[in-house]
Amino acid sequence: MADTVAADTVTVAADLGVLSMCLAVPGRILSVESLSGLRMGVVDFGGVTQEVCLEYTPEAGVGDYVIVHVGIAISKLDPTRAADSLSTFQEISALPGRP
Amino acid sequence: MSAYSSEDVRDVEALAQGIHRITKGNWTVMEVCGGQTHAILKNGIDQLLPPAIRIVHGPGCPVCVTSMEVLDRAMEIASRDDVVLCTYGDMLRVPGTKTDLARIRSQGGKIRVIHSPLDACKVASEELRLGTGRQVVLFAIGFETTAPATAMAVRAAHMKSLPNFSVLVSHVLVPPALQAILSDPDHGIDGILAAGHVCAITGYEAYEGIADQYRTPIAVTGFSPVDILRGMLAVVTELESSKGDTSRHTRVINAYSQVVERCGNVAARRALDEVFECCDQVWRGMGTLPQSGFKLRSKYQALDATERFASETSSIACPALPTIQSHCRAAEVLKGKIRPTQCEAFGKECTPAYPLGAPMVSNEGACAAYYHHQSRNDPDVLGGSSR
Ligand code: SF4
Repeated sequence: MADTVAADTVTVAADLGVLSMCLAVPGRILSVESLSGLRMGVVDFGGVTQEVCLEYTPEAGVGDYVIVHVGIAISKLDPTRAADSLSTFQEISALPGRP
Repeated sequence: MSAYSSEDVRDVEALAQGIHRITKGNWTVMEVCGGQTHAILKNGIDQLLPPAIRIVHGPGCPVCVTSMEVLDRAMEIASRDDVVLCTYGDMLRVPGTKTDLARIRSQGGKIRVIHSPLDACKVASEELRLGTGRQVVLFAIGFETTAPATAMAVRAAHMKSLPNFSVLVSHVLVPPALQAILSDPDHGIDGILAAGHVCAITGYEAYEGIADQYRTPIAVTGFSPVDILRGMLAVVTELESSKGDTSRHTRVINAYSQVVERCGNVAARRALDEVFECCDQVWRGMGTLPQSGFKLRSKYQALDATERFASETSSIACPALPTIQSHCRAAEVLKGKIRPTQCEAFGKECTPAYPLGAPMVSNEGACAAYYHHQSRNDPDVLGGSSR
């Protein structure tokens, strides 16, 4: 699940260029370390790795997916919550039809 | 849609069908995120919707709403011999009153394109180590998504006591802009897709008040075609089910729950609150909106580039921009009043190679997004159009 999300957003990110301002891209944390007082990590974006600041996602560790924007992780991707919203989507079949 | 899995294609089809099935009224839905503008046009999502649903694009491109005043300020600072200005690549070609940053750079201005505000701290440390005597200025623009990264750089520079680092802050906040748009009695907007990554930081409590006050449902929405359609389905469901029921509470629906929580990112919000306070802010095309921007708190005042470079001593003479921007209708585009293709200059005098206004410069700008993608969806809007 997380991988598909990553692929989607990476495609949009590639179109917009790396410098895109409001777009954030999911990647998987490969390692975590402390660098001059900041919690930093190496994050894998579908094969491209980048150093990312993890200060705002203290709960995210190695193996977790985070959403990264201008070098900073802004949210930990929670695939279980994604699964939740997918199941609500299954409720579409229960939606009322046209009269 | 080659980049998408067959599962995604199936989900897109099911969501689009769901929307077709429930739509009875005519609805105008506004998105306020450059990334979504781009994704909608690139994937032809507007074409998948019933004709009764119209998508309009709001002020979702941070580059496009950055005020002329602050741009001119950045250019003044970048024109100094003793300054390295660090900013995002999209800013270089946005026209200011007289010129743009790219032209200043071509005349010898030291402008560094950065990918993260923390890069500016690295540049400052490096200049210090080399003893160049240069000042490093971070030109920090963007919505609530980007502001925490600026806050991080400010804190890091403060912690390291970098004497040559300062920041020109021009962050903008989404909820006051939504309020401004919805207080216009002729806004014509029935529902809103809120930008998922802005809400990843701020959460969506502030949007609940707006949804209720203006009786306009809001769906927190992500960026892939599936995410966008899920947000659209949520908004249309809300619109259809509350029709005629004035007693009903108008809701915010979180259609991007894998990333967004109601309270947002607590650590990032704490950092924002520590570094910034709200202030009135000028938006390009929208004027001054109360409490819609950030300025540094007094603890970090020493890092404010506006104060550090109060006396203007530009040392680089710059060629003026050849074009006047008088026919640019960016203000109407940014408020969702017209589509980019309704601007007379679109695709003629104004193209990404020769932009007249900011929305044609940034890839996230609505005009650039239409220019790049609309040709595929609607061939008669480009170039040869006689309108
Ligand atoms: S097409 Fe160009 S001139 Fe027209 S509104 Fe957009 S940026 Fe301005």
